[in-house]
This record gives sequence, structure tokens and C-alpha cells, in this order.
Amino acid sequence: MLKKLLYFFGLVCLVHIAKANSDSVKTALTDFSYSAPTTIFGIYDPLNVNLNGKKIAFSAYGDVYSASNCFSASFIQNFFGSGFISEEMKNDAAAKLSDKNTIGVDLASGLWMMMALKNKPSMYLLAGVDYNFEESSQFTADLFHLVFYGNYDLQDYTAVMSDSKFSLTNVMEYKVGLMKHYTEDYNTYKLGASIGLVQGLSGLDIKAPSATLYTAEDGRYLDLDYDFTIKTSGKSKPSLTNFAGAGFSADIFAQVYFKGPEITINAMANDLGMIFWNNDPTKISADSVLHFEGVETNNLFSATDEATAGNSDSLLQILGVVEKSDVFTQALPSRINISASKMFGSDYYFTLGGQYMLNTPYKPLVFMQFAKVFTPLQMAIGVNAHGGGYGVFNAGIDISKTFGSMIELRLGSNSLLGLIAADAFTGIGGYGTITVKL
Amino acid sequence: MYLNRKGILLLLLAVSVFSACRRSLDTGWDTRYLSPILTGELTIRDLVPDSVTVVNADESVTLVYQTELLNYDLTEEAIEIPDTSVEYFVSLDSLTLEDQSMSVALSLGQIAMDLGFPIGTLIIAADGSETTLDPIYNLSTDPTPVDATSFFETATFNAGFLDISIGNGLPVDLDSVVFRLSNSVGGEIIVEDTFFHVPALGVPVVITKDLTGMTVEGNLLGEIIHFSTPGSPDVPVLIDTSDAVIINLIAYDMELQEAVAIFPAQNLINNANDVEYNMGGPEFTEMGMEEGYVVIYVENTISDTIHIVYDIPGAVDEFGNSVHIETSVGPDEIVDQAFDISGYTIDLKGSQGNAVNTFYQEFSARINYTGVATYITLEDSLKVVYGLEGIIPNSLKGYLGQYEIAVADTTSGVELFDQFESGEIHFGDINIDLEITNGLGASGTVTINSLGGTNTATGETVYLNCPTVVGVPININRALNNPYIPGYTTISLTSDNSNVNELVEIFPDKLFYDVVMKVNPNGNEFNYQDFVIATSVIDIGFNISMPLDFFASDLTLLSEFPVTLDAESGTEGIGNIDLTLFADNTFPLEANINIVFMDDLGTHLDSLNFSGFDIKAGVLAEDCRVHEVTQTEIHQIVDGELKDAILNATKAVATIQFNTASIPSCSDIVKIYSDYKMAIQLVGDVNYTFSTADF
Repeated sequence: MLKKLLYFFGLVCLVHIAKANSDSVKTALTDFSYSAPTTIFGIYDPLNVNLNGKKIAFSAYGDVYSASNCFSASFIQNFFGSGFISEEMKNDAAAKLSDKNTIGVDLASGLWMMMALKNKPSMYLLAGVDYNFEESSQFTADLFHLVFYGNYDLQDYTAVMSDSKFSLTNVMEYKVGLMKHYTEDYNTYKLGASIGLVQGLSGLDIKAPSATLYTAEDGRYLDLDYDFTIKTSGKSKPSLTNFAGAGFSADIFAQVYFKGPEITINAMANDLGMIFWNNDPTKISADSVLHFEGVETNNLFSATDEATAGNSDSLLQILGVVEKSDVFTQALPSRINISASKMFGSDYYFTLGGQYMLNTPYKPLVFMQFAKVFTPLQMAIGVNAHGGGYGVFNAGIDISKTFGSMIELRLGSNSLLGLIAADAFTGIGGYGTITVKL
Repeated sequence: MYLNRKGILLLLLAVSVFSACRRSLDTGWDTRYLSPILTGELTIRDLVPDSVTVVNADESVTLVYQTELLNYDLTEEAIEIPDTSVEYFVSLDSLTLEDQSMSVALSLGQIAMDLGFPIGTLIIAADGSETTLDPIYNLSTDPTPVDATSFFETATFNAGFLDISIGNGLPVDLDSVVFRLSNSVGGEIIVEDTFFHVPALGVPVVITKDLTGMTVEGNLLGEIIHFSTPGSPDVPVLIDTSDAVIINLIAYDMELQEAVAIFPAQNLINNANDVEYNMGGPEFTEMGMEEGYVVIYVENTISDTIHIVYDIPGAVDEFGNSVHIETSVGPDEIVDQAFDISGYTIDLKGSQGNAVNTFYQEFSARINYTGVATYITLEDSLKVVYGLEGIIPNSLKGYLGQYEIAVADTTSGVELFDQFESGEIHFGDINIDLEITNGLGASGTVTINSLGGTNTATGETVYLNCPTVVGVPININRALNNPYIPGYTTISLTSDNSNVNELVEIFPDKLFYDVVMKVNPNGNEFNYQDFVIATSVIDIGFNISMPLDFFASDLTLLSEFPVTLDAESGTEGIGNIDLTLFADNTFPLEANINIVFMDDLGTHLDSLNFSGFDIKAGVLAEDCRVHEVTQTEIHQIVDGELKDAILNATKAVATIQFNTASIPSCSDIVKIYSDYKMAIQLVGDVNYTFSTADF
């Protein structure tokens, strides 16, 4: 579904790019204006969509970002992109492990409309559809070892997996909102909000507050101490025609442009809300201590009646796993952005900002971007760098191009280094936005 | 998916053995896991069922095993209690009426009226005065109705008497009084008799008339057809026209042939008799009922409701209550009832207490007073069926009779060795007791013509060879009663007097026998003191007792279980496995484990045998007992071929083969102690290639 959506947006982009190229001939030198984006991610940014006298603007965007503090980009590419993870990749990742490690994948796309109200040209109506997929995990080094190496070399050792967790939210959001644009004392202000209905496609929440595994010498026994809960939205495949869950969300955003110092401050909070997985939810949990020496087979050759009586215990029963239907709630991964941009001269912009994802193992992400505007070309090129998020350091490039007065295109990556040096860097990402003004 | 323990074992085992070749994975990585797969202990319980083991003080083990060779229920097989229902027509024994009395008064005034003028007129005229009366001759009165319809409308008497008394309330004597009583309709004269002198104001004069053979109507006429009086010509007497002659009629001791009458309550039938069973030999004096019914069927042709009472005084329940049935049958109705006498005991000595197979019963039928005239004749009858049906006794006493019972059969064999699939075993001393249990309170003999065992797998058959037992009639003890104790007779077979070791060591799964049993071969020698109860059977038990010491040679235990794995179950990522079998053994037995995987057709696909290495035996010390654990660690690398076998298998057969490991200073036949055990554990070192496609 996601691929189809991206293909659609791509097709829309191509069509409009072609059309804009033909229009740009007569408007190229007059309508270009650049404003630094709020974030270095490719999410919808209504604060920086300028109608420039037009009545309505349609924006389509797509953003993909994956990062980890330990997994290299090539590891992540292979993990999510159908490849084999070599011993070298695992060793590289293992070398970067800390006590608490993270990995996350964010995929966002959407289609939005901004329209100036007829009687109030400074008031804009916003309406759009967002698709958000967020998958993140926090795990211990021992869990990494157990998953990617096994326990053979953990003999006479207690592997600690406590406080590990994993969550996945896969939702569609249908939003509508308003934004006010006004000027005071030469300063310009934008203030807006939107609210939306959330359609749950799939959700998963795994938490293991306590989990350890002791492997005895020669594997003669295992001692497990575990307390985990797995909540899933159900077994049905994600579908736009199916509500596995339902919820609500809200966005708020504001911008202040100080004309004197040529500084713009942007703030956005997206996807504040939650979702109730109530269609076919399942809760699987276990809280037990297990000493395992193998399945007991005392009656394998027994001459007693027990030899044929059998035992209906399943592995799940042995592990004390309880499964039941249980409605659960997930807070949506909410993205908080704040940034400040300053223009130097007439062609240079510098932006410093931060981003945080609520309800995920995200670390505060700090970014900066430096852009140069090439007015004759109706283009701006920026380079950016960031630290934090699911991963560590990375850098990228941002290109904005206007075609005529109707089409604006923005392409870029905040984790370009992961694509260039996949074995050395731990994040990859890319985004694209196209805005058509009518 | 739910698995039983063996299924889990196989699953884990399979996880340990699937292919080394990694599939062409989209996303995957190699891992190596180490995990125990199965663990268990082989103890003495696995060699023989714990239900047959007795641990001795020195922890050595004795096997005590019992199996039933023969079980014969005499009451079920040979004694049958027939139904005793009796059907016949019962005529009325008697028909009676209660004593009846009536009175007729003839006043002086009425007599005067009948006399007419002038005498009657003068008497009436003198009413209230004293006057003399001249003699009067040849007087009579008109007939006076006598109504007896409140008792009967008509009745024919087989017996009965009528007393007629005449009391003279007149002031003068009466002479030659002729009184007649006749049927009003038919006119037949019932009574006509003369009272020669009836004194005035004196004692009534009585005449008795026999009613036998007479038919009397309810409407009668009474009249004085002649009387005279000497009068009182000299002495005046007080004339009072209300003075009267009183005629009293008293009927009594009336027995009827037939009547339309309002009958009083009375028994019509009283029947008591002995009912004798034909048992065809046994002569019982008492019978306890497991099941059974007293049945009573009555067809009533009498024009009145008949009340039936049926008693068997000798049939009593545990509280002493006898069988007593009461029921009613309306005119032209049928009653068919069954009375459950389960738990009752019936005396079969008859009414006189000196019979056998006989019970005493009483039957009566009666009518109650209804106030309604009913026609009943002694010719009326009832069709009656009553007796005992469906009798299943739970105890019988008396003389059981003589029986000769020949039984030849094959039974399931000695389950003691069911788990041994093959191999040789030689035991030490074996003792087999043939325990004959006689549940009958009767004497008898048992002759074992032949006894033997067969191992159907090997085809070996061994006949018992014991000259003192086989073919020799053996007297068996009779059971005792109060309290009930079966009679036991034990025949001991040992290696000294028979070939029992040879018989047992072939692991017989079938035992066969040819036995003749005789009950009461000497007749009724205990004078009706035989008895049989519900649990009375003749049983021959095959009881083995032997110390568990043996020499084993390739003694094999076998276990077959299903394999329900398949290649599509997400196990493709499993690579080479190093399986390690750890064993801690104190049995003085070497053991070799082999698991054979087979398909639906039983085709051998592959086997897992730990490279042919044995689990080492516990080492016997100088006291011929193992004191130290012997540890064994055996490895088996499992590759793809075995994986394929397991994936394609639908069942597996695991065998463990034992061989005794003795030492020169001890016998080859080693004693097995209860604390011997073989602890085994299988650990898998699994190379596994994870695939995200598995999730």
C-alpha cells in the first residue's frame, strides 16, 4: 500500500514537474521565494507553504527514515531490504552496542491542501491525509547477542534483556485545520492547528520489563526469568477498508518571522493523539521463572499406564503464556519540531533546530542546515547535519526548486551518509515534497 | 499447536536436526543456540510396572504379578431360575348376607276391622272399656307387605334360617295361629306354620324355618290365615284397639347361591398354596433376589369391584417386611401389576418348612359394602395370574446339585513383560502359585489337563510340565458363610517341581489352559448347607513371585510415537546440529538407544543411534551392587539426510537395548535394586539461520 502511495505521489510529481517546466519560462525570474523549512525531515510543513497570491495549494510528500545507534545502514538495508546479515555486519553492530540500544523506522507520506478563505485571505483552510508507519525498538546488548548470535557463547552467563521493548504503529490520519497569518510591527505570524480521525491499520506493542536467560555450561539447563506482554491489533492484514483500531490526533504549528533580524522561528507538534485497538486485539503475556532441562520424558519407555496416557501440555503452557482478547491503547508517535532560521545577506540561510518523537525510544535530535539560494535558477541548495533520533550522527542535502509560479519541489536526505557509506553510518533516509499552487 | 510430551520431544529434536543447508533467504542471519532438548530417568518402573514391584529391605526388588487364568460364574452359566407364574380361574368360595330382622304388627283395631260386623264392630265399640269377650273361632287377617328390599331383591339360599316369633299384646290368648310368608310376585310360600297357643301378654312363641334351597324375594307378604281365641267370657278385660300382635322375622346364617343383593363386605376367595420350582437338579431352601418381580394379573368378571390381596409370607426384605400386594379390580376390568422384590429373600421350604424349591403364597379376593344391589352368584370367577418372574438370584442356599464343567480357553498373557520387544532374559528363582478360589459353598475338584504359554511374536510355546499337578484331580476348599470367606486352594509351581522358568522366559503373551471342574462330586454330603452368592465364582489365578535378578542379552524396550512435523513449519533455517547425550547410569546394564523414523508405509527412512555408542553400565562392586554413577557423553552430528528423514516421517520407533555387564566375581544373573536409575539428557547445539520470513 505504501509503495502504491509513493508511486502515486511520484507520478503526480512528474506530471506537475513537466507542466511547471513549460510554465516556468514566463514566470521564472519573478515568483521565486525561498523559506527555510521547519525540519530536515520531509513531513508536511504548512508554515512554509506560501501561496504567493494563489488561492489554493496542493502538497504531496513522502519521508522515510531509519536509524540506529548500532546497526549500520547496510545492516538496516539488509534487514529491511531482503539481504543476508553477515558476521561482519553483526560484529560491527556489536562493537557499537551500549546498555540500551535503539532502532527505528519512520515512514510518512501524505497529501494536503491549503486554501485561503475567500472572505478572510489571511485565514487558510487545511485538509489532508497522512500515512504514518513507525516501528521502533529498544533493546539490551544481550538481547542483540541472543537474537543475532544465539546463546552458544553465553554459557555460564546470564543474559539480561530487561526493559527491552518494541512498538509498531501503522495508521492513516484524515485531518482538517485552520491557519491564521497576520503581521504586526513588521513581524509576521502564523498560527494554526488541525485535528483528525485516525484509522488504525496495524499495531504491535511488546514490553519486557524483566527478562533474563542463564545458559548453563554445555547447555545442560536454561534458567529463564521473564515478564513480558505482547499486544497486537489482530491477525488481519492491514487494509484501508478495515479499521483495526480508531483514534484521534491533532497538529499545532506556529511561525514567527522577525523582519529586523531576518529570523524565522518555527514550531510544530504533529500527531498528538492516541489510537484504540478494539477490533481484534490480542494480549499475550507471561510472568514466570522457568528452569528448563529439556522436556521430561520419564515415560518414554515406561511400563506403567502413563506410557500411553500422554500429556497435552503445549510449549506455551510450559512457558506459562496466557493469551486473551484485550483492547489496548497506544499513544501515537508524536513528532515535536522547533527551529530557528536566519538569513544572511540575500542568499544564505542558516537553520538550527531540534526534533523529538514522543512515545518512542527516540533521543532528542538536534539538526542544523545551511542553504544557499540561487535566485536566477529558482533554486536553493542546503546541507544539513544532525545527531540523535534513533541513531547518532548523520548528514544530508536539501534541494528546493521552483518551477514557474505554480510548482515547488523539495528533495533531500537527512541521512545521506548512510547511503554513501552504508557500513560506517547508522542511518538512512530520504524525502520529497511537491507543492502545486493554483 | 498442542503436542503431547513425545510430540514436544520430537519437535525439539527436529529443531536439532534439520538441514545444514541454508535456504536462499531474503533476510537472515546465522546463529548458534545451545539448549537442553529432553531429559528423563529410566528407573525400575520402566522395566516393570511399579504396581508389581515390591521393594525389599535391602532395596532389592521382588516382582509380584497376578493375572487371572479362569473365572467361572456357576450361577450365570449353569443355574437358571425359571418364572413361576400360575394362571387359573378362581370361583367364589362363599357368598353371604348379614343377619337380618323385620317386624310386623297387627293391632286389635286392624283385626277388628278385618273381622267386620258384628264382632269387629262390637270390639271397636268397646274400645277403652272393660268387657267380657266370648270365644271367637276361625279368624284371619288380610296380607300385610313385608319389605326386605333394603337387603336383597332376590336371593337363593344354600343355607340359612328364619326365626318367626309371635308376641301377643292382646288381652286374650290366641290359639291355632297359622302364619304365612310368601313372595309377593312369585307367590311362592316361604313359611306357613301354626302357633298352637300364643298366650296373652306372654313370652313370644318362636318357630325356626330352614331357608336352604329357597328363593326369596325382597318384597314379601305376611298374613295370619287362621287364628282363634278362647276370649274372656267371665272376666272383663280392657279393650284397647292399639294393642297388637307383633310378628318378628329374623333371618341368619344365610349363605347364598346367588343373589341380587346389597352385599356386606366379605371375602370371596381365600387361596393359599405352595408353588414348587423345577430346578432340574439343585434343591434350594432359600433364595436371595438380585432382581425379580412378583407379578399379578387379574381379570374380573364379577359385577362388583374385587379387592385382591396377595402375600408371600416367606419373601422378606432386609427389614423383615414380607411381600404383600393389595389391588382392586373393577367389574370387567383387568389389573396387571409387577412388584419389585429386588433385595428380598424367599424361603423355599414351603408352608410346612420341609420342602425344597417351594415357596408358600396366599391369595384372597373380597368385596366391600357398597350400598348398591349387585347380582353375584357362586358361579362367578376371576382369572388370576400370579407368581415370580425375571428372577436373578444373588444368593442361593440348599443343595447346589452336581456339575461337571470343562473349560478350555486362551487368555491374555503375562503383561509383566509387555514392554520387552525382543532379546533374552534369564531369571533366578521363579515361583508361580496357581491359586484356585472357590466362591461356592460347595465342595469340588479341579483337574488341570493342560496349561501353557505362547509368545506369538516368536512363535515359541511352552507347556507346563508338573507331574504332581497336570492331569491330577485337586480337591478345592468350599467357601464359608457368615462371614463369607471363599475357599482357597494354592498349588505352588517352582523351578524344582516344574519348568516354570522356561515358561516365563519366553515372555508369553498368551496363556492357554484345559481345565475340568466338578461341583459336589460326592452329592449332597453337606445336607443342604451349600450356598452361592452373587460374587461366587471359581477363579484360577496365575500369581508370579520372583526376585528381580536376571541376565539380559539384547533385551529391548520399544516405544512408537507419531511424528507430525513438516518442512513448511518454519524449521528450514535449522542447520547442522551437534546432539549430545548425557547419561548417568547406575544400572549394571549397558544401553544402546536407537530412534528409527518411518513413513506411512512403515518404510525405514533413517535412524538416530548416536553413532552406535552405548551408554556405559554402572560398575558392580565386590558386593555385586552398583554404588557409583557411571557417566557417559555421546555426540551425534546430524546432517541434512537425517533432517529429510524426520521431515518425511510420520512415526518413529525408539528402542533401548540392554545387556547385562557383570563382573567375574558376581553371577551373570545380577540383582536389580530399586535405587538404580539411568538419567539421560539430550542437549542440542543448533546452528540456526534466522529468517524474517519466519515471523
